[in-house]
Amino acid sequence: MAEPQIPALPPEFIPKLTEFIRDGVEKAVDALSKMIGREVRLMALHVELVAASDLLVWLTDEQTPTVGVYVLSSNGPSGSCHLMLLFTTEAAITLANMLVPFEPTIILPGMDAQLTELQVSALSETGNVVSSYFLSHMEKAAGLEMYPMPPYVVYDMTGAILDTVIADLSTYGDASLVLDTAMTTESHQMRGQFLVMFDKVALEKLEGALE
Amino acid sequence: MTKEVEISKLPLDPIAVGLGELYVSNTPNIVLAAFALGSCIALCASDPKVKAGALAHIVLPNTPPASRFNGNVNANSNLSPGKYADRALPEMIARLEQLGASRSRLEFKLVGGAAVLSGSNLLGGANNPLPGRLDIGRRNVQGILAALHQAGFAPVAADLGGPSGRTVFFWPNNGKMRVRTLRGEEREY
Repeated sequence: MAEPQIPALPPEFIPKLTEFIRDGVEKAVDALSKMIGREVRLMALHVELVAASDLLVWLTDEQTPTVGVYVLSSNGPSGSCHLMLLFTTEAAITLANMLVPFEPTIILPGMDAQLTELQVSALSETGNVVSSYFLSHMEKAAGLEMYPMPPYVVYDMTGAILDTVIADLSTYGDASLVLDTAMTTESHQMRGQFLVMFDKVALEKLEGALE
Repeated sequence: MTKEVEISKLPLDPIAVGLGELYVSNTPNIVLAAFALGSCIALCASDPKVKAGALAHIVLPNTPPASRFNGNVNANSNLSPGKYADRALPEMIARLEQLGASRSRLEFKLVGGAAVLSGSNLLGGANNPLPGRLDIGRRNVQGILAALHQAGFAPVAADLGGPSGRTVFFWPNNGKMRVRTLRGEEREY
């Protein structure tokens, strides 16, 4: 692996940043709880500055079959924020069934399952809700205004899903700020991973806003 | 050609070539791998006569202007020689020539450049077009084909584009390449 080239962050900035992002994620997850009618809890929260090329190694097993819900939010002067919800296929189906309980899931040979168009649309809506609340927090708490694009819902290897995000982050700098957290419903019916990745410009803006 | 996957035939201990890395080898029986390629491209090359080959894990088509990295792009590229298509190709050729390979015998194979985020792999056809910024797979394909063309090469095999991620195994000694997808498809080139 190439040696990461990441800028140093002032030590006093890390706790502030972690708290700021934690608040945003909690608001987003609260909104998700209301949407599915079940409490969703954050299990762990890890914030770190990571070289874009090391993201895959840092995050996950790259070949795991995964359903991803992805939202890119950006605004020239404020930089970019990539939000990604990652679920196992089972968890995605569980979540989809919570959102549209009367829609039967299609099982196909060679795949764990295929989601119907309505279920994909429902998962896409989770991306809308989560990103809206997170971005609203960023604007209110740090004055960082970003505009979300429509969510993408995809099924593939985790690495392949994150590939484009990593390439985009690499375009604008070699470092990205990553939040990685696990979330779960009661009795662990549905677990997922919530990633927030900021590019270099957004990170500099955040640093200025939280000083 | 497409083959049924037989787990016993898959390489057990490949050397993983990560994002932006370039691996060159003439050691017998080595298998190189780039796992879970999405928009990235694996550029594979081999010289069958000297049994040397290489794999570069390309992330982006073009080296950015130095100003974007505070003038530090050269240092960055030295750490990640396979990151940009336009730099990976000449670097790969130079390193293969150091192992005795001849430019005139080099054979290139390409894998990757998918548009995974387009979502068509989930709904079996319904496509969610990518905006230019995220259409990196297509730009990577164009970038590496242009770099090869400019250097006077054409790939002898290519498994490019589409909506699905790929894992590639490459045998640098003989130039054999095997591509695998999440749904168990396997193709050999």
